[in-house]
Amino acid sequence: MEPERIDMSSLDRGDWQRKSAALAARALELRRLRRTVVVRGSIALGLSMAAALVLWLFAPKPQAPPPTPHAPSLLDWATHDTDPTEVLRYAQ
Amino acid sequence: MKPVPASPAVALAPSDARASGPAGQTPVADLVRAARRGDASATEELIRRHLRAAYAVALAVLNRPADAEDIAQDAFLIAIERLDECRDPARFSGWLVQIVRNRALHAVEKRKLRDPVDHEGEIVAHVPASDVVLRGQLLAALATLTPVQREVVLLHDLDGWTHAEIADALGLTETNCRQHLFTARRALRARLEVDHGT
Repeated sequence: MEPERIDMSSLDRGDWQRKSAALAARALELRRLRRTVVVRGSIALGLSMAAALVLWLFAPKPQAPPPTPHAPSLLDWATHDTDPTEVLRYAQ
Repeated sequence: MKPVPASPAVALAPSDARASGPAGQTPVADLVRAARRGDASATEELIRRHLRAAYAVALAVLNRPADAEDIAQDAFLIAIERLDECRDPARFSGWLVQIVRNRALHAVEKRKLRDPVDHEGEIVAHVPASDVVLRGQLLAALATLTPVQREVVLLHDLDGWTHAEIADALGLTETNCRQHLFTARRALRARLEVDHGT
């Protein structure tokens, strides 16, 4: 046979109704706050990502470096149209 | 059998709010779903049905009523915040018990670091002296049980849970639960009778 129930009422803190109501209010407030932070954080993240994309798309293109002057060579003169004065200038 | 002394002023008050809820009450799974949507009354009802059970589980670990109440409330705040993570709303009780137990064990670890000399129970000024003595005896007797026996006996005798509800929440079989309750009550009764005999 099962032993009789033990009276644990002296361990009971009591007033559970009021405590439950207060706790529910706190829990809901925290949940609401968390949601607000998440929603606002998501909006901020979305906006910053959109701004970054716009900046990347419309950023000025880097200019091509100017062609470096190179020393004339016989091969260049042989394979390209060359101004004779240039050849003469080089010879001088 | 010699009756175990009880607090004369307070009658046994099994919880009117059970985990699964008697007929006519909203099932706990529906309350969880409504609370997830931010329904204030469902959240309050969910807390009202389970707060004392959370306290019982915390008390089983901590053996200090005031600390247990704080931990139960903290754990409930966490549970409500993470309600979306409760995969099976019908098994909310088991999920909550797990959170409470983890928080309580964490608090025990912190207490060990902070306060190496453990003081058993605590004195509360507004409680009659006889209740304080009885509470001390009960806490001392509970400390002799295994953790699972404490959880079973507190959920059953403090919050009035059925064996089926306890078994479901603690992951035991009903037979196992009955055995734990039987052993726990017998040990408690023996200890309390010794206390009263001396």
